[in-house]
Amino acid sequence: MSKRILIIDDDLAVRDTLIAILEDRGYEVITAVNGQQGLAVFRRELPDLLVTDIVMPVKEGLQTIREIREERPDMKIIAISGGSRTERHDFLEIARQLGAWDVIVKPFDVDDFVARVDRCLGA
Amino acid sequence: MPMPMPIAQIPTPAVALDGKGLVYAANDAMARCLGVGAQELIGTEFAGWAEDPDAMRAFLRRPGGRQQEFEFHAKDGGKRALALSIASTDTTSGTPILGFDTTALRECERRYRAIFEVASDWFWETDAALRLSHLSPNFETAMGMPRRALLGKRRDEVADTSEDGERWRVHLATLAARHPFRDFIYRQAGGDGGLRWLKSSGVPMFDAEGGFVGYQGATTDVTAYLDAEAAADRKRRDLEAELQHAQKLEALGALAGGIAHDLNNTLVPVIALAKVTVEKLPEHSRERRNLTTILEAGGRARDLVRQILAFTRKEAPTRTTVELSGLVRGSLKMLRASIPSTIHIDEAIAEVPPVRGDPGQIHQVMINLVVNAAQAIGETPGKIAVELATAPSELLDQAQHPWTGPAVRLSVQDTGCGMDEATVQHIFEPFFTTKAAGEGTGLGLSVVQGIVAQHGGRIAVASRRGQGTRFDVYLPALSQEETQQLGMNGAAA
Repeated sequence: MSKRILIIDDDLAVRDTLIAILEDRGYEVITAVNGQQGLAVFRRELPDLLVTDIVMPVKEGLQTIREIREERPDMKIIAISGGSRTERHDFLEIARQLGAWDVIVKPFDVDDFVARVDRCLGA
Repeated sequence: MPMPMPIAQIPTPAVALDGKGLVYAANDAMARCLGVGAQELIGTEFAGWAEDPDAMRAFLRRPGGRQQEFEFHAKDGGKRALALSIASTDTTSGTPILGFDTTALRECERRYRAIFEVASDWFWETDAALRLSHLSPNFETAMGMPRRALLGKRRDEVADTSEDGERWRVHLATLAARHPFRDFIYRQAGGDGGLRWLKSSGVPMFDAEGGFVGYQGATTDVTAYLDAEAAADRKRRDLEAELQHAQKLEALGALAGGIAHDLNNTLVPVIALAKVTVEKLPEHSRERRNLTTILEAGGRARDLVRQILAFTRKEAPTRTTVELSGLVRGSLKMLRASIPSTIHIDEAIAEVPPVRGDPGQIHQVMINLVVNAAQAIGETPGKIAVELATAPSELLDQAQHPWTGPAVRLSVQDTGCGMDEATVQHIFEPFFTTKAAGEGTGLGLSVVQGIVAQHGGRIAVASRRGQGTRFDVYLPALSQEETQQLGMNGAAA
C-alpha cells in the first residue's frame, strides 16, 4: 500500500506541483489549503507524512506543526517556505525546533525534494 | 636777554635758543608738550630733550630755513613727536623755533601700520591707467611673490581671466565708469604658480579738480575659505546621495520582502513541473528544448530573487577558498551559449592566488558583467575581453578594507555603446537602468557592487560613449601561506 502524504499549502499551483511530483513517485497525496483544514484532514486521513507551508492564512504552519505534534509526537513533518530569507531562516528554524523532520526552501530542486521525502518515509 | 618776539602768544609749541643752543624762552604749549613748566626749560640745552641730541644739534647748525621732525622725552616718561620749523638762516641771534605736535599723527600712523601688518588683506593703489602703483608689504607674504612682479601692471593683465569672461567684462565696465566695486572675486597665480581665489574691493580717487587719478582698495586671499566651502558643499551632496541610496535600499528591502514569498511560490511550479516533464520528453525533441528554456528562465528568476534578498540583507557571504581562474573559465563556458555569435570573447586568464569568498556570488559578478557587456554591444559584431590577473593591493579600497596581501583583478571590457559621464555616475544605484522597460531590473550592477564590497574588494569603471566600457573588479587574495593553512584545515575549493 502506498504511503499517504498530506500537503498543506494555500497556493494552488504549489499544491498541484507537489501532487504531480509525488504521485509520479507513487505516493498517495491529499491536500488542504490552510492549517485549520489541514488539521481536520490529518485527523480524518491519518497520513504518513505532512508537508506544510509556513506562511498561510487562517492558521499558519508553525501552529499547525505544534498542534499535530501534540496529537501525534511521532508524526513526520517537512516544513516548506518561500518567504524572504530572514523570515525563512527564522520560521524554518522554529519549525525544526517544533519537531519538523526536515525543512525545505521554495523554489526547490525537484530531485532534492523527492530525495528528502523518500528518506523521510524510509523509501 | 629780551624776547625778540612774543613767543608766549604763539599757539603752537615754540622755543627760542641762544647761540649755545640753550633755551632762553619757551611758551606754555612747548612746556605742556614736554610735560614741564615753562620755567624748567629755561637754561637747558634744547637738543638734550630730544631722543637723538646729535641729530638735533646738526639740525640747529644747518643754515637756512628748514624743517625736521624729532622725538622728545617728555618728563612723564612718554615720547612726543614735534615737527620743528626754523625760518631764519641764523639761529644764533635767538630766532624762535616753531614746533608742530605730530605725536597724535605718529600714533595714528603706528596704529594703521600695525593694522596693515596684521591684516590678511593687502592694500593697493593704481594710477589713472589702472596700473598698480602701490602694494602694501603683506602682499608678499600672502601671495609668496615680490611686489615688483605686479607693480606697473593692470589687474586684468596678471589675473587668470580665462574662465570668468563675463564677470571680468562687468568688472572692467565698472572701472571704466569710475564706480566703486566691492568683493570682486577673481583668480590669480601665487608665487608657487598655483591659482588663488582673491577678493578685492576698491574706490576711485579724484584730485582737487575732480580728475580721476586711480583706484585704491584692499584685496584678500579667499582660496582657503572657498575651498572649505566647496568641501562642505561636496560633503553635503555626498550625504544627500548616501541618504538617497539608503532610502532606495530600504524601498528595495521592503519590496523584496514583500514579493519574495509570492515569487518563490510562483516559481515552484515553473521550475518543478518543467523539470518533471522535461525528463519524460524524447531527447532532442523541440518540446524538450522548449521546456529546458522554461526551466532555465525559472532558474534565473529564482537566482534573481535570491540576489535581491542577498543584496538587501547585506549579510556576509559564505566563505570558501575560491580558485578564480577555474571559476572564470567555467562561467565563460556557460555564458558563451547565451551570447550572440557576432560577439567574440577574448580570454586572458592567468593563474592567480585564490580568494576567500562565495563562489556563487563571484560567478554572479561574472555573469552580470559579461551579460551587460553583451547587451551594450547588441546585435552588431563586437568583442568582450575578459582578463584575470594579479594586481597591486593598493588598487583595493584600502580606506574601507585595509589589505596588505596580494590582490587580483578581474576585467571585463566591451566594444559596445559606452556611457557618458552622467550615466556612469549612476550605474551602481539600485533600479538605475539604461535598458528599455522590461529588459533590465537596474539591479545587476548594484548586486555586483554589493558582492564586491562584501568580499572586501573594489570595482572601477571606465567608459566613453561610442567607445565601450571596462569594469575592473579588484579582490583581496590569499597569500601562499594562508592558502596552505586553509588547505590543511580542509577548506572547500
